[in-house]
Amino acid sequence: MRLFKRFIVSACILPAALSIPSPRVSAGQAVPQTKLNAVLVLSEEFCHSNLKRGNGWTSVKEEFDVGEDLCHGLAESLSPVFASLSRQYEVPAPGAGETDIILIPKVGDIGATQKIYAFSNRELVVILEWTVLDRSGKTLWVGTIEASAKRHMGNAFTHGKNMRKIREDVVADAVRKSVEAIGSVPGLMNGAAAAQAR
Amino acid sequence: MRRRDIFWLVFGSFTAVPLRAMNFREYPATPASSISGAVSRDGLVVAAVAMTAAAEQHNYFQVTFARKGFFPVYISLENRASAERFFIRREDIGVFSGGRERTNSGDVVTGRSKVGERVMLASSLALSVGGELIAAHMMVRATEIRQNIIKKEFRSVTLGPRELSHGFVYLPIPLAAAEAGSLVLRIRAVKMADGEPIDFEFRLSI
Repeated sequence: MRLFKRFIVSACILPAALSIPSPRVSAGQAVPQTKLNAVLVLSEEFCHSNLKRGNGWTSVKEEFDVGEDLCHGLAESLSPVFASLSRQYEVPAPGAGETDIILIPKVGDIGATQKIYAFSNRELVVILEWTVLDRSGKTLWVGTIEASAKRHMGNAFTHGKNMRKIREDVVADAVRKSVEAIGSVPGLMNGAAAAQAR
Repeated sequence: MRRRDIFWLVFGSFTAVPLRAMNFREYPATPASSISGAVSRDGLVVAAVAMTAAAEQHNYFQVTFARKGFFPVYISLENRASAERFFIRREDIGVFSGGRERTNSGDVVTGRSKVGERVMLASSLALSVGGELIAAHMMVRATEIRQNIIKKEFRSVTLGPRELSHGFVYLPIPLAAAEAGSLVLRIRAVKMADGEPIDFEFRLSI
């Protein structure tokens, strides 16, 4: 019986410890809620947004794949905000289905500074442009958020880990700011915008 | 002063430079209505100021844009309407030259220092630590300049009543415009209520 209990406890704890932290909205943050049905348009291009640079010989070779994490994080964190949230690769036709609003993110730019010393803080910045459409395709809101994160440059052994951490931090910041920004769109949370479109 | 002290003095002065982060000055945010040449339509006031002086560009960006074939333009928008809302997309700001739109944006700097890479290669071959440090500093500087350009750029925005927005757009200089010495900048705003676009045009001297 004791062995069985240990197995259950391990089964509960281990996956949680091993799983990669998902960039969802933190527990302390109040998530706005609305009864609207939303479509989140995550295009192929958006989910593969990255910053690649360096040749690994005369300059440091780096790659920041923020798109994949953003796609995962945005879908997960925006889901509780709406009555239903479906993910699509393309913008749906006006008036299609039960959709009330359409959310379209676009990566405006990605920038990362570099440092010479391992303990110097470098910064990663992601510019995310949002467009919110109603069911008829009319633009309800356009906005831009700037997500940023700072981490040590790292030495030969810790550089990879620091790169992963800074990428996770910037995605978490982008997701948090996106939820906040969408929650503050005038007329969206009380459904006025969607009602107007119907 | 002994030879060892001189070495540490020189080494210290080289390493202190990269340790210090680059300091970029903030461009003073100015409401569109207080800029001369501002255009007002349907309650939206728009102003555009071309930053052509190399000294001024160096002051705020630490880069000379003309060498890259660009020039920065400061854009300021002010919604003075009581109820109307507008949205402005970054890609709806473009340059006209000779009657047709040439391009609307540009990747001004890549954040890559080619000179730095060449110095790094030469220093690595010559096993020169000092040279490598200088090369690394040049590469770091290039990334910081690019970051500053990204942060100061104008962003797509929705302007509610009494709201302001401002930022820079980095415009490539079309060949025809470079010969003529001027170009036309078009900023398109869209009314939220009915989706009607309003175009603001500015003739800028370059």
